[in-house]
Amino acid sequence: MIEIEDLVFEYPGQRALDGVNLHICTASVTALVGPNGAGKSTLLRCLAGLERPLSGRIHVNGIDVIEQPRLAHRHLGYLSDFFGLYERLTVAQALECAALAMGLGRAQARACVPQVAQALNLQALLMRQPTQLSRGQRQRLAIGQAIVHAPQVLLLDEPASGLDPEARADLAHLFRQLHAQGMTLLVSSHILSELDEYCSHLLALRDGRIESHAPLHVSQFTAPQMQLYALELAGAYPADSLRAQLQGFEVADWGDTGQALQLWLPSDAGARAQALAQWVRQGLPVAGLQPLRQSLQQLYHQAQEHSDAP
Amino acid sequence: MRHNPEWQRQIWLHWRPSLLGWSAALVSLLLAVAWVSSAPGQELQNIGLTALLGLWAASAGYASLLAGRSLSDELHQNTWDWQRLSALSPWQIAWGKLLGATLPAWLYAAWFGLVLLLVSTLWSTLWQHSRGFYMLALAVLWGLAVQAWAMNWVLLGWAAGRSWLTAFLLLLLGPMLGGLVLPLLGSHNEQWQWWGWTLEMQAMASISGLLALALGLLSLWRQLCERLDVNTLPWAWPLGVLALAGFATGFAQAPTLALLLQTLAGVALLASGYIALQQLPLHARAWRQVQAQLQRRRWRAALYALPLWPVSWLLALLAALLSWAQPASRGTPTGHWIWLLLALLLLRDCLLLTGIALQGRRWNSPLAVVLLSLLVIHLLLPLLALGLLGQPAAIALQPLALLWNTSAQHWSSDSLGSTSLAWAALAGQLILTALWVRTVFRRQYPA
Repeated sequence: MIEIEDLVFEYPGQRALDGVNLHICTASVTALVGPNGAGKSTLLRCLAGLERPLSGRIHVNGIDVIEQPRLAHRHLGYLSDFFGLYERLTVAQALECAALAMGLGRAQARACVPQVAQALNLQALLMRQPTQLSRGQRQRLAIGQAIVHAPQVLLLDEPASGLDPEARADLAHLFRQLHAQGMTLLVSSHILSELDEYCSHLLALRDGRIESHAPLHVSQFTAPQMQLYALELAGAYPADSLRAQLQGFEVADWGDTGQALQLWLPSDAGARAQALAQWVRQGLPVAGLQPLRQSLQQLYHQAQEHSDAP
Repeated sequence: MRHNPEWQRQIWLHWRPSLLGWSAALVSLLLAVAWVSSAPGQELQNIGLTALLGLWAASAGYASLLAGRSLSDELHQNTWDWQRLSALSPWQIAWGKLLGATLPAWLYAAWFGLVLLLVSTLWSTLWQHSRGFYMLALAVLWGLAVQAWAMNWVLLGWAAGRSWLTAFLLLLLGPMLGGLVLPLLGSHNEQWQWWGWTLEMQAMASISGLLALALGLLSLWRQLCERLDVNTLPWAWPLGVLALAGFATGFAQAPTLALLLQTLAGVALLASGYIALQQLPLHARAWRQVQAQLQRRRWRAALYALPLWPVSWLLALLAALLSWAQPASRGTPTGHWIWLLLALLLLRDCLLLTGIALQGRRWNSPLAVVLLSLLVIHLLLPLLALGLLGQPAAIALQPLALLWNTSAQHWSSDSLGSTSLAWAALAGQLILTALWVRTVFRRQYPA
């Protein structure tokens, strides 16, 4: 859905993006993380066609964003971390204007207002002006303006910043809904635990370069064919024996009680069944085994350690 | 006509049904004051004049304020990104704002215009009926033109935050175009010669109004293209310069092709110098883009990224060369080469400006550094050299010193030696400046 080749962007005297190559697949939700100044916002703005890079290519849904930014806008929605709203338009007018501005016909634009309002839980606020809305409601209106034309790609820069926990939970719910509808999302945030709730991929940037880009259920820092699993044991088991039995497997978390641990197992079902059979034969009281997503925080730290390693 | 979403937005932002009542009440109040304060027998005349003034104040004053604010509000409310992300064309946004944001002002203008027409119908000794219509049409035409320029002003300010430079542009254009309207209020029988035609003041004011509107819209479209990331080749800027030169040349006693070329060279040089200063903070990034595109042999993209000053400078150079080739100007002592000399001098200054812009972060105000450098190079050093070493030294520093009246000196503007020295000095300065800019660029952007 998104293809980036050798993207370079410079502010005077500073290279913000340095040869970024990236492929983001359709219907994924990618968490864009990195320290301040890593180039996250610049990358999003380049993707949205709001900044002109020095070199490189960006394609969204097959359209060259640099050559035809306004055509690409029909296929993407973008919400800046510092967005503004037309303060004297009502919510309904703002949504209709956004739809019209994205090239929808008048009847179509009018029809999509209640649909978007419903998806964003704004039905009761349609006749209010932005000045009468809370921060979370304003955020939802801005997202509504960004998705009113049903884009295939949605780019969000710090969407949860300044929101209370309830509004953040609503936002996470909304993103899951959009994802379920097949939308590709790229979300930049500093709050990793929040992204963890709905992201399928991690994209870590540092100094304008990609530090890591991987799906959250597969670690690229262990073998690529490994997957994280939660192993549950029936009752306590001697720690030494447990370590001996699991020798040869990478354990991500031994747990506090010794009854629940996280470890990397082969993605291949046959290899995994073989390992499980071996443990049972050796007397390990296996009560359950289920696949886990590696937490975003873990993965981000692994990425940092990996890049810091000599 | 296709529905314009920007116009719709502006109507929603600005239109309230109560405006109709309020505007009618306020206009009535103003006219009532004019009526009661008139001497007996002068009532209709006073009401007519009040309506005329009100019409102009609404269409050119209040409407321009609203048109400019429709853009500045986008900046202050941080909503411009929505426009950039939309599928609206620059024309849609230009017309949508121009006709939508100004609606309240046009409402006042409509009431005043109606009264003006009534007065001219009722009392034909003051104005002929047709003149009432003409006044109305002229106010609409000039109103739209001033509104377009008000929007240009705001956009120029966005580019570089140099509102005083923008104001300078309006100071240049204002008297040239706007001055033609004022005599309308006095003697309207005055006649003008323009490109061999004898035109009445009214016709002249209409032509100048049309030109002001056309240039305003062209500039607005070009600037909106830039702000909305619509790639355009740089044709609009030289076209505007060409139109302005053509308009100005028409006022000469005997407009000829040679005069047109010289005027074009002059206007294009002024335009180049102005836009180079106006876009000073953008030069470094623009030239870096041009270099990157040229390295990848993407010629069209390099043209998209090109700053505007080289475009109008090339137009000036072309006009200067063609003027030089004109048989009529060869006989004059300086007329045939002065524009060429000025064009090359401006090239040197623009290169200097580019070099300073490339090192923009070294100074608090690169613009002040540029202006100070130009003052030293153009005036202070040559004057010092003239006082200490005589005219040849002054010419070596400032080729234009060739034209300075120094009758006590052996050198004069007619001597072949002084002319050759001026050209040689200019060539040397150009080479040195170009090499310096190249060095600065390489230091800023190592390969």
